[in-house]
Amino acid sequence: MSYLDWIVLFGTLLAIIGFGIYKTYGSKDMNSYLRGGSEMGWWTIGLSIMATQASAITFLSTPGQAYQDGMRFIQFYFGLPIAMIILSVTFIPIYYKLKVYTAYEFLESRFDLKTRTLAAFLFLIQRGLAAGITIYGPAIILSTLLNWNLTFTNIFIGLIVIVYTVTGGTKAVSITQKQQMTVMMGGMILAGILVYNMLPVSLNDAMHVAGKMGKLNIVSFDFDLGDRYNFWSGITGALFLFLSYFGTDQSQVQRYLNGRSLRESRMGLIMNGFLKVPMQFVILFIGVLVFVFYQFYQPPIFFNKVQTERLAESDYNEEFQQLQGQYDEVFEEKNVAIKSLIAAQKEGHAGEVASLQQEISSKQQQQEEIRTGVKELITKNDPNAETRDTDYVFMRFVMDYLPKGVVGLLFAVIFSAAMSSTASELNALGATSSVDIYKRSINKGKSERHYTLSSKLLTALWGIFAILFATYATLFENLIQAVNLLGSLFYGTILGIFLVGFYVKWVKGNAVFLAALVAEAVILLVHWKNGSELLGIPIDIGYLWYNAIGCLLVMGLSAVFQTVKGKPAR
Amino acid sequence: MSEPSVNWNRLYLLLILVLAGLIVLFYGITRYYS
Repeated sequence: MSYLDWIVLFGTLLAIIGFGIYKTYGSKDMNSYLRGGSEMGWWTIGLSIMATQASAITFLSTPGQAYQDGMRFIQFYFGLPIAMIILSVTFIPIYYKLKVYTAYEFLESRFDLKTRTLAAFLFLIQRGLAAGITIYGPAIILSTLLNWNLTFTNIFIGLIVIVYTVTGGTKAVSITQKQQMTVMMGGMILAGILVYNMLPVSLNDAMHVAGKMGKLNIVSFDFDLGDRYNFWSGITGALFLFLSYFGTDQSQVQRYLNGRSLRESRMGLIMNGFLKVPMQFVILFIGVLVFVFYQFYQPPIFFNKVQTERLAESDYNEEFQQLQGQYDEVFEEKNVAIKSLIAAQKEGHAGEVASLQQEISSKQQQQEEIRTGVKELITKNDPNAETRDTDYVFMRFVMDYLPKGVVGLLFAVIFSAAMSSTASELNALGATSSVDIYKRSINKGKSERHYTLSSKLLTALWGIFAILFATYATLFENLIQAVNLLGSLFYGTILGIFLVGFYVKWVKGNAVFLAALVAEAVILLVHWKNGSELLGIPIDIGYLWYNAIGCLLVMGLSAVFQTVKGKPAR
Repeated sequence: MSEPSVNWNRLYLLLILVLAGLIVLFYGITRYYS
């Protein structure tokens, strides 16, 4: 990177964080520390909600995912606007009425202490681990790209977040997120415009190329339980995930509980509902444009440069160069076919288009086989080397082709995204462990000052835990899916508890508590046996469905348990 | 301080319509360019 890029990167990060600390230094009481003094407008809330969800992984993996797999991932977000409406109607008014600090406080007023503690505890496990991944995921990629030490990168991201989250609390998180989200949106839109300008063909031609090569597979109405992304899983399975994530995950709930009024909080959520699908579309579409770009300009055979450089210096260099030669050859042949395809498309020769489409697809297949050969060499050279390069596609493109200054800005986008998500997580982990566990069950009846201090201390401890977890984690199959999976194992159960609380008024604490334990056990069992058999029944379920199953199990079982026990007298 | 009131039902309906519109548009793109 050039000096200009470093200046843009550090200048952007320092300006955002400095402003956040300056504006919020010295939050004195619990209301200002954990609820940001209840003064945020809907615009800040909406951006804060979006910044929390948009992790660095979103910006690193999503364009790469579109590059490899096409745009079908967007269907995952179709349930989100509907979830926003349900939350706006049901959840938020109740949180406001009870004036809670955390979502789990509601469970004690509705059920009992043990149900509240269980939900808080499930959240702490899941979000505590996720916070580590939120730092580790981008750190491993950023450290490779910037040639930084991985542990240093983990500490760099984690420590900065700890500083402003501990000093300024929820308000600092919201204020910085507003700026961070602006940088993220601006940076991505600029990148999109630049890629578009670099294409040697028109947008319509580019879309024909992408479409014919299977990348514009945006919507599919085919129903398949094992398929992660189709219209049906998005509108049902993902709906449960988003209800749980936005309605019961403290890292999101805390974002809108700091609203000036119920109206502001609702508007913030609805704003997220309007913007999320278009935003994901833009990010995925940038990945598709990068894909089309690489149909005209030779792409790297493997996007993680560090690995190919190592290979070139190893004993496998000769085999590697041979594969590289074959790859170049296939690229040239494919390029000719693609140009003919565009011409045939313009002239309306449907038969020729179809046969060229087949030829391109077989060339694409050949290229993938050569890439598999390279991946095998990488593994031979270093058995522990990472052979997935999806997460490197976008930033490698940025570093190779975008102008000076813009590269720094896009690194600022990734760092901002990593920091904004981590900040919400640490803020929420600190709040939940201090309000729902420490203040409620361990050390009651102390002063306001004592609990504010303990919240700060717990936030810092969770931050240190996240850094340690990140330092010792190993790379998961796919970063996005790892985080979503981790959520899906617990989210269904937590959502079930809340929905029983809101809608099934005659079910009481013992029944829902027992139902939650059974449901969680079933989900873990199903996940463990997924892909094989359970009680003679073959199981093949997309992880997204765990949310729906867990939730419905809690609702059904708690009703059964309550009925067996006898409905309480009114 | 009084804030202008929001017609929530109308806003929710608008959101659903926008979502439906986007899905139809995406489906059109999927079919047209495949």
